[in-house]
Amino acid sequence: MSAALSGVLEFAPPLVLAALGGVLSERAGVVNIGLEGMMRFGAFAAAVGAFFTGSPWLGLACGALAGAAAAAAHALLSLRYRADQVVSGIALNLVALGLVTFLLEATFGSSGVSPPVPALPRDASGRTALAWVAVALPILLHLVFARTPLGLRIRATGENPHAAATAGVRVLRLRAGCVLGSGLLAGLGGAALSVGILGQFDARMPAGQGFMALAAMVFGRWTPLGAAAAAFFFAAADAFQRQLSFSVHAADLRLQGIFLALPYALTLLLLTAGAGRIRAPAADGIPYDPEGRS
Amino acid sequence: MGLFNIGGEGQLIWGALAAAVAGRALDLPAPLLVPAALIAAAVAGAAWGFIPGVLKMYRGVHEVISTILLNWIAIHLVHGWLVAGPLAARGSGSSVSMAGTDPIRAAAWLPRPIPGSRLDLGLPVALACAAAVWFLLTRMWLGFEWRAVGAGAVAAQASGIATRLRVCQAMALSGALSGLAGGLLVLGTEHRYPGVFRTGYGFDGIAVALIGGATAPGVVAAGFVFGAVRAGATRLQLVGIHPSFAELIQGIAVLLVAAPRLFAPLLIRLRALSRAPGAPP
Amino acid sequence: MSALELRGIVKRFGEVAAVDGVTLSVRAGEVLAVVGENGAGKTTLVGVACGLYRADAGTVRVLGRELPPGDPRAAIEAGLGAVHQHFMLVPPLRVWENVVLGREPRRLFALDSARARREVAESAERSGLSLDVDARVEGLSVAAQQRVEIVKQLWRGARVLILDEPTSVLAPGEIDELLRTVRALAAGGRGVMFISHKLREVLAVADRIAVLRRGRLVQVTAASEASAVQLAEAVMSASEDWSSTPTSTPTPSSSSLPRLLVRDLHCDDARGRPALRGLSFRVEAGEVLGIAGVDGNGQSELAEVLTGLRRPRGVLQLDGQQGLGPRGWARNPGAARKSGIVHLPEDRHGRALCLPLTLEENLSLGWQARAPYARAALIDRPGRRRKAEELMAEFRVHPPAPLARAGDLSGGNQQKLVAARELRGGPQPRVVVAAHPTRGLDVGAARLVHAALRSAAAGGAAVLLISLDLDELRAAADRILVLYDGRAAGEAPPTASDESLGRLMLGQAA
Repeated sequence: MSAALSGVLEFAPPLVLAALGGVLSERAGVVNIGLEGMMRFGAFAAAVGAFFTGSPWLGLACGALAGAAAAAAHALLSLRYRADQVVSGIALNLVALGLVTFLLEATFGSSGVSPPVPALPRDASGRTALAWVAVALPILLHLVFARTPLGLRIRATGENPHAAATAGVRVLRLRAGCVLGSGLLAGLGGAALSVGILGQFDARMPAGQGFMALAAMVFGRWTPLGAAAAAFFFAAADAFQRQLSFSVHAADLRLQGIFLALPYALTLLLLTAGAGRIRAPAADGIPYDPEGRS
Repeated sequence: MGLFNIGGEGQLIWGALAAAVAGRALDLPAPLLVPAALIAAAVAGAAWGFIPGVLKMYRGVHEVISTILLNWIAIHLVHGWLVAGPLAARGSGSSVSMAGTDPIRAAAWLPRPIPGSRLDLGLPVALACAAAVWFLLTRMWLGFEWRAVGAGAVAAQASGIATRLRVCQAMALSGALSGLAGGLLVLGTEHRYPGVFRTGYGFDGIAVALIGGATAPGVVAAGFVFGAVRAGATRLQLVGIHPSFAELIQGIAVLLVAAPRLFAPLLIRLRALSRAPGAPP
Repeated sequence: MSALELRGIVKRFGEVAAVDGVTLSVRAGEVLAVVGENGAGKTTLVGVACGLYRADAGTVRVLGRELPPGDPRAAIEAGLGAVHQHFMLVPPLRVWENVVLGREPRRLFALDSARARREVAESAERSGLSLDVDARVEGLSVAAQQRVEIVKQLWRGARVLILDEPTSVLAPGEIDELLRTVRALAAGGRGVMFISHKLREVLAVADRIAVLRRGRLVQVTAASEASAVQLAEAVMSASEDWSSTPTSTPTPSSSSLPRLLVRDLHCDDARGRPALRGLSFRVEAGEVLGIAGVDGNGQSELAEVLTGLRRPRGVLQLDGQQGLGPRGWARNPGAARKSGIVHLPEDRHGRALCLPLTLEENLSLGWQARAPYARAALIDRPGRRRKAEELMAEFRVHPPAPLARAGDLSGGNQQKLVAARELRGGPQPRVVVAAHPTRGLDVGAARLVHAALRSAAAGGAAVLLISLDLDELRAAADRILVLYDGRAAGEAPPTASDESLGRLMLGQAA
């Protein structure tokens, strides 16, 4: 039991951080399909940073900054130039796929994995400091949303930007900040994969974790605590599935795919069943036009 | 029609699997087996595409979210379970099977009309599909109704168009095309559902559709360009250009398409300049 | 010193002056009502006053301070608060959160919610508005949401309040309560500008009443010296000269069945409040029935019911055929159209046209599967083109370019396009539902539309002409039915006087 729990705490941070990033951006009204790409940039930059500085902590910082830089492109396109937010996110994922593959080879001369890089220190149960960040950050973000003027403004902006603007909120600036924060978190999540869990960068990273983070965000009804809980739950399913794959029984192995599909199927089921009650922020994905009427 | 089908990947996977199963299980002569397997692929893709349409129109689930979820459900169910378990090739033993399903019958292979060329019937089929979609959208009133729903759902509904039905149909057709693409890959290239299926065609498809301006001729053109970029990437490698440039170029192209406002001021200036050649800029 | 002073305000949209040289002032402690028809310039005037629009000429002063044009923040800072027709509220947030949004009281980094809740509750109480500060706005009635908007302005220190059509969303009991609140706010020393087109309310609440017509100030009278009848005349005086439109006599139907029979019809509006409350009438084939009434008395919902867009209860018959129920002709828009009901909707952008599509495509919308627009499953492109050119010539659509986009046409030409499609694009209609078909049209285009409506009637259709313009109804209708509060208030011949129609529109017996 405790082994399973520590497995969850080991594998959950990337998912939790990215899911929180999704929550932050979408509660402000900007759809972020690009989480996967931001994680990829973050994972790679963290590995590079750790490799060349020798410090996993500096690597972590590099990862977060790379995620934020990718998010800046998303913010620029979707806010300043009012590009479709879904399209912009898809494009970001594609660019991340190609650019990182190229940079991996250019930097390390390999198309598969980077050389091992300094990894974050682990405690006796294999947890890194990020495990505790993954526990604390959802609570912190929840408090920001519920108890601060900033949180109130973010929530209002994601629901009705015109009302927020007439009340004196600077909508575009606030949204840009949330998208950057989202990228920072997703980048950190990606870094948690490379310098946290694996100790090297793998060309396949983040292997769909960004999309799973999106699912966790939806499953958690766009709330920090809900999304984090969903992310922990998905990570638990993942950890269980990993344990299965170590087992020798081929019969179990064949069920692996069902376990992997489960989080997505559950999210879809929840959306279908609770259609009326589970809704995205009302202005999610709708570009804000200051001159337009609501 | 104003809908995002990000589910191309999942629809393609089911289409490929359906073609692989049909191409193995049905004992028919080639002229019948190939179309039968392709139809199976299209039907499987259509079914997977129909789900988000229904969920959107009757339960209000946004198609972007549902299609992403359905992609991953398909990926894991097919790769992690069906192809590794119930449909795994016989005799692959208890080890992690990378072999995929049993190979399809030779009768189900897509013919290669030009001897010595890798070109198979997939290209003509794809072109025929593009022509059919173009015809449907611009020459048939059913396609006009789809476009009307995309251009103004409220007005379309008020004019008597059954918007819910049309949305579900369009999503299903979109799925059928993705499924067909999967079927073509299996019958033409893989000849089985492989243990490691190069995924990503579905995502390429979105990029191609976006860059093609969501019109059939534009999509064919963009598809060719990207096909060439992909195929060329392998060869460009020989002269030192990395194959990952394919994705990179694709992504940047999508970015450029995504933000027309980025170029609008530039275009206006160019137009103004061309109109008044002597005027200072 | 005036609380709010508007001097020589001019605001043009393109060629049209929506507000044309209006000078008005609101004193502290007074309620100034501004009345006028739709399109008279009331909302534009409000927009200029609170900085949403930049005036082409004129100045706005609040408490003696001139406001910079087109700056809503400056207007708020100066003490001007506006409650718009569309509420600026965030539905999932609580009442107090909505009120303090953007100016939150803080304690260190945190929101001082205790203080915010206390202050909002005090603001509401002081002005006699009952409000649960912890309720979520989405669960509140429209009336309560309006109170939230008012409290929001008061909490922010508004000394001048502008209420834009505040009663148009309220039920009768709620209206009385709002009027009491408005009086109390004025008694407390605030200046209130009260925009409305409902004369009875205006007489009940205002100290002075200003009448706008076509962007100009027609009169300002003290409420004590004004009468409903005189105001109605001032608001509605002859706007257009329709007199040259020929009036035909209806052909009485031979059978006892009317073309359209409506009996005891009930339905709710989009917000779920009763809109039609037992409406009954009949229309014969060949007849133009004018539907008059102050906006919001059930006209829009009637049009939606008849065209299959809204489900009612009651009896609805077309030549004796049932309209309601799962097989009725009014079950959905497609079925209604198949039964020969055409619609010129009031919202022509959203409901009538697909703006990104071409003119010929829009002309075929609704008829796209029939000849001459289609042959079997295919679009008959030459047939569609011929028909489109014919229709555009007949209705003088400019430019007559079949491949232009509908969104690029002017409003008047868009309406001509809709009229052409509905009245002439398909088979001879059995019922025409025309909602404000000439709103925003110049006289020539309006005559064209009226002539087309009359000729549809002459061809055997029953025409329902919904309008707020009495002169239009007089010129084009055979009979005028007045709606009040979702019911038929009475019927009058087109020769009826403004006074008698005005009484019916105010819900008084003729």
